[in-house]
Amino acid sequence: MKNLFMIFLILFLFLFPLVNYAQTFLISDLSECNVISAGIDTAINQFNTGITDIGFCRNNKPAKRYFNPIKDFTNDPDLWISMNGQLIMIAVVVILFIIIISFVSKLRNLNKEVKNISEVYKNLYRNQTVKLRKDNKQYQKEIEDFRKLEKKFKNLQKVNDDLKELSEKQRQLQEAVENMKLGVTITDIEGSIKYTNTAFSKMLGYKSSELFGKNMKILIPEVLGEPNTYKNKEVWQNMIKKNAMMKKDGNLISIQSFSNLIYSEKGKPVAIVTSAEDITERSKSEDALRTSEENFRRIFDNIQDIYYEVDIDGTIKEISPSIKFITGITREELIGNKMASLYFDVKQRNNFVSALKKEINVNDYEIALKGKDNTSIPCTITAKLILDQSKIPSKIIGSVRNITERKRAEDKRAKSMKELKIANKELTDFAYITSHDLTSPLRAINTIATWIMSDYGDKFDDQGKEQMNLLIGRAKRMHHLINGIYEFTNIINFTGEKISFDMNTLVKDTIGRMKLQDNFYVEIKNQLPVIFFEKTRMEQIFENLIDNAVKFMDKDKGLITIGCQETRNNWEFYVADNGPGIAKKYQDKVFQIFQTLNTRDELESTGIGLAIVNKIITKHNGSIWIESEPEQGTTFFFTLPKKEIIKK
Amino acid sequence: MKSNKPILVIDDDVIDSMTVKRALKDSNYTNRVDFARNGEEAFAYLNNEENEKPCIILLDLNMPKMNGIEFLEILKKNERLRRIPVIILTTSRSDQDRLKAYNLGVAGYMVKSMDYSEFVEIMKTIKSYWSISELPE
Repeated sequence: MKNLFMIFLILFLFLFPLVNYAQTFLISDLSECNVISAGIDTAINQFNTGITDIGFCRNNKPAKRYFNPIKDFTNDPDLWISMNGQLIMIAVVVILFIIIISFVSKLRNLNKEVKNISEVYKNLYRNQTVKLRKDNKQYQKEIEDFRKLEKKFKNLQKVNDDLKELSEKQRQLQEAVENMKLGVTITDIEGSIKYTNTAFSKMLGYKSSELFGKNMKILIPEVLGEPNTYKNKEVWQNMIKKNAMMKKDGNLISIQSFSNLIYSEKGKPVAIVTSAEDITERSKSEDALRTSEENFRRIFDNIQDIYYEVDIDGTIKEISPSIKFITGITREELIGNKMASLYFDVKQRNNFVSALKKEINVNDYEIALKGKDNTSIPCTITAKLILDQSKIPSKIIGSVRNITERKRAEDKRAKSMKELKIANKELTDFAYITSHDLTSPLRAINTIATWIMSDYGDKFDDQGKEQMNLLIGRAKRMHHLINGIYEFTNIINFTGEKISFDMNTLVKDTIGRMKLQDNFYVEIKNQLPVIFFEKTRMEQIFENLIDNAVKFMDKDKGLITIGCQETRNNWEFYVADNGPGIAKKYQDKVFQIFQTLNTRDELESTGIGLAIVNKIITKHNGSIWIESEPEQGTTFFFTLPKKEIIKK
Repeated sequence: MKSNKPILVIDDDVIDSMTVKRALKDSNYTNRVDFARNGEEAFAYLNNEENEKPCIILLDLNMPKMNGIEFLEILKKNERLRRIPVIILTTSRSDQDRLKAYNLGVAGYMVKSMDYSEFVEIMKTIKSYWSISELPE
């Protein structure tokens, strides 16, 4: 019932404004009808403008004046009268009420049905719950059992993991031991081998499997007696020893071993673990090192040069004992003292150290050491600045050499050189002056003799004329000799400019200039090189050699051949003739100045030409020699080093 | 010679001077020949206003007091005398002497010949050259 009333109330509240709106719309001026509204008491309460249009307002009085009983309007056919809205509403409400009531009764039936169904289900639920509760209890018990099992399983798994880890560790350890460079072996306390790693068996030339079960005895040479097996604990505790072991092939090797005893849990010794290293090579190199150290020590103690090591602050750390022989101060006196105290002039050390810091290595630095008796001893130092890892100078090592003797020799040599230079200069001057000063009077003699012959020649008899001619001839010969001296000294003292030239052209030009007689034939056997040399000197060489061949030619047809040959370091040239040849015993003489093999009256010759050739060649580090047989002709060979005649 | 001015011969050797004189005569020189025995004497001659400026100087190198090179060094600094052609006539074959002489602007360098006839040839050559070559006033 309550619901019904609520529905009714809602409808009323909803419909009342609706009806009211419809009424208001009808009464409004917009309506096409002429509308008037009146209350249940028939008193007009509202109307629209249409009402006024149909005459109720003819006298233009306000409409409300005509609010008279409703019957006043009902006669008018056009008039639509709106009865009071509340009447309509009541009608609507009544209809709605009827509808609702029928609806509610239907609802009640539905509700009943629902209640029946619900009851059925409630019973069903109750039964099921009871059953579920039973099941639940059983499950919980099962879960508990399962958890217990799970716990047991986890414990087992942990044990398993631990075991696995342990076994992995063992494997790794074994692997590590197996692959160690150090030989490792495990024996029982009787010495029977239980395990060896590869390094151990390899070291002894066995396979690991070969050693398994064998006794260590087989590895120890008989001379060394039985191996130490367990006698007392102390022997095996951290025992280090060096001894020999025998390889499978019987060779002995030096071993350094370290053994340890392994105890069981109950404290009973069960095994001996030994690690062993082959130190054969090391022993050898140690021996070698010791020997070399001894050798060096011996050298160090006995060397004439002084080896020294000095701190960066100049303190002597090491110095060889031989310092005593130089300065008279012993090694023991010097070690720990300043190096500067050894110097004659401390400034010299400062300069030397500055140079060393700049150059790192200094060689043959001249200094003077101070002797015990305060004498200055000329020495040279060769030293090296040693840098530490961060490139900071840490010490100086070096050697000192006493150069007193060398200095003396040098001074002596310098003095000799100076004297030699003076002597040479004097000789040059002498040769120059001689050639000039002797030439002038000689020329005067010659000129006047010529004038006498031309002015008074007709007054001489034949003998007088011959004597005058001899006089003129001798004057000329002397002139040639003087010129020869001059030329010869000029070669020693004057070196001309070197230029490149073709030797073929040079030889041809020289021959052309010499205007040889028709009975001479000169042949160049092979292509001569292009060289870099003093051209005029090369001309002099060929001119003098060819001239020599021509001058002494005893055959009707003179044949001169010129050629060359290249060797590793030299160019070798030759000038050969078909002349009289030179006997062996004279061959050395021909190169000496003023030496002639014939008297000058027989053959006018100064004996200077070949001396000049020899001088030029030896000056340029070449050599000259003769190959000749009497009557077979002579070949002059000469070589010039390539480095002298090839342009750099 | 184009010019008829004198030739000055500077040489300390009397016979060499005689040789030059005779060779000049034998080469048909008409110029007067004057002699000085060293560089100092030569300057005394050249600086004497009474002496005519020579058209050519024949100069020996090795002389006492003032040698040929010293003479040349002074001569070439003298504005009045520096253009006189100087021909070296010497016994010296030294390269250094030749170099020094040419560095000091000599007109020629002749080595005195041992043979008189060659000497005459030298003089003739000098004459013929300076007969063609124009000299500044």
